[in-house]
Amino acid sequence: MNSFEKLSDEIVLHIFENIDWKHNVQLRGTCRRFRRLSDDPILWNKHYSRTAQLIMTPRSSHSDYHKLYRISRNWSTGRATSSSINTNSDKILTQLHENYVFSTLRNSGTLFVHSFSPVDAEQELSDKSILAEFKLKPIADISIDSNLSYHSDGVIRVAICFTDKSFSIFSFKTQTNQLESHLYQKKPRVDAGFEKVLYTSLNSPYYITCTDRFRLTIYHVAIQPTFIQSYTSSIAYHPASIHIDQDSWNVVVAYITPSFPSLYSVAVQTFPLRSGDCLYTNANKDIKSARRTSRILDISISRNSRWIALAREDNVVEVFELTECLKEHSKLPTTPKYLSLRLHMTLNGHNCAASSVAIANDRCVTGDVRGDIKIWNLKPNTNVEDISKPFDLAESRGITLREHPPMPSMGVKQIAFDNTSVLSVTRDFMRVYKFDV
Amino acid sequence: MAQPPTKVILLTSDNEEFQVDKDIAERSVLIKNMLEDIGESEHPIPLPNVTSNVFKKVLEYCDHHRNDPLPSTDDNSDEQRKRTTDINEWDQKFIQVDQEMLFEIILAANYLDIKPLLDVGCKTVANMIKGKTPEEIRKLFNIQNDFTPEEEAQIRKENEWAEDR
Repeated sequence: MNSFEKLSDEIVLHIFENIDWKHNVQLRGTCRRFRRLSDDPILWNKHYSRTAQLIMTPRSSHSDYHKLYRISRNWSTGRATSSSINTNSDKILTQLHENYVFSTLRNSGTLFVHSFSPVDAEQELSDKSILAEFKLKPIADISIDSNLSYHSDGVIRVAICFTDKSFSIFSFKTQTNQLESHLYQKKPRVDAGFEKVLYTSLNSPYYITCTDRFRLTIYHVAIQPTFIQSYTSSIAYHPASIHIDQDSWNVVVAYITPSFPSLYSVAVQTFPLRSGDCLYTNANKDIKSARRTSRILDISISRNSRWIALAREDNVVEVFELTECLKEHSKLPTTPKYLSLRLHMTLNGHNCAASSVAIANDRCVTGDVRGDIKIWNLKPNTNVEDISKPFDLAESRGITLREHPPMPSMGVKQIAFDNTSVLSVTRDFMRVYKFDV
Repeated sequence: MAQPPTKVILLTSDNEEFQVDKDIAERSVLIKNMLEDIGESEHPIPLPNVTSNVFKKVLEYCDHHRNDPLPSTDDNSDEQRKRTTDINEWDQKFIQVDQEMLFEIILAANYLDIKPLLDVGCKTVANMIKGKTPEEIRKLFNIQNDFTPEEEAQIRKENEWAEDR
């Protein structure tokens, strides 16, 4: 009989409490009993409350502190594989282009194309507004081509990534409401294991997919889809936003990294693509980040990659300016660039958690969990007063034709923005608002 | 005029009787509660889970700490107690005993409900464990390795996240 066998679990846990969490993990390898006791949730809760200065998630008895430790530790050492804590599978996916809205439910196989009037100030997209409906394979994400020169008159290019990780690029003809597939990647390049594609972005001739484990796969899709490169970002977490910048041909990825042990950071990373040929350069290792203490619910990158906006749980919206600077005094043949991320503006005005954000050139549109939508002017010369009094576009409360749904469903789950129209997606409604710039 | 300290009689599992000053015996919450329950009594209080040689050691601790403020029971002080990880000099010397005695003291402190002594014991064991590999810990405490090789490989993989590199 060894000495520990005399002690009750309670006393052994009392001993373990006096050991720091790192050694506590090592104890798991001693024997079965130690392994079981080292994983005790209350013990981890105690470790957590001793080390954490700030709270990463609202404290609750359900929090898995062991998991929190593991995740944030992995982030801090750059070894994280994102776990799927935050990914919701039944997300409505929408894309807005001129007077058309493409929508689908993730994992469903039906794509809807809606059209809306270019003049009505507010309209709800319902069954009546559906122009066409297409039955396809289960969809992972849709992305309208951000390269406008690829859209000809009456044709909208949209890339659809399916849950089996294959993708097609379709042309939607607005005259006939037909969907034509003209590029098709049959064999998914990413191994079709348990990873799910969550985000995609098409900016012809490049197409990029990003899985829930942050494996980024870049394709050249001008004639035949050609695989270019795959990256994994081990420190990324959701929510995230990816974007292909047309001027610099950079892939810009903005994501959350809960830094150890309990702060949230927003990090931005760029992967340069070389325009013209299908080559790539090494991923820019320069990651810029800003630390935040509140949960971030949505991120948006502007089309020109200059702005990055965060919607935070504590009602605040932040806009960062991303610039690339040349590194001086470099001995390398090509001058390396580094990123600079600077807080440009803090937008206060929401009365509850900001749940979604979309940012365009000098405007930012945000939606909160109660359904309020605000449009903000980001012009540097606008005086502060104008900014602090955002133009309340509309409150989706009180103008519904249906019965008021309970509060949680009012929350703006997604917001899209296209110069003069705002598309707002709540659980039950999709609405388009027009406004004058 | 100073009253002579009240004595209580305590009986250990090996039938040894101890005449102890009441204030020393009351460092044990268990004995304190028992005394409150039974009131003044000539009968010795039985302590069936403690042997005399361990109890002597426990009394030595209680005697030295007889004038310490009693630990309060509210949660706040519980936190306070945990935050101080060091053991003071006297306690360190006191707890320099063989492993068997150390674990007996922990058991006795737990049974007699002497929180500061339990803490000292647990912290001492924790200090013995700290910085040791699982193999070293097994050797030190004579713990059987009851893992299969597969399980060991699995645990190594599971523990990777905490390693420094």
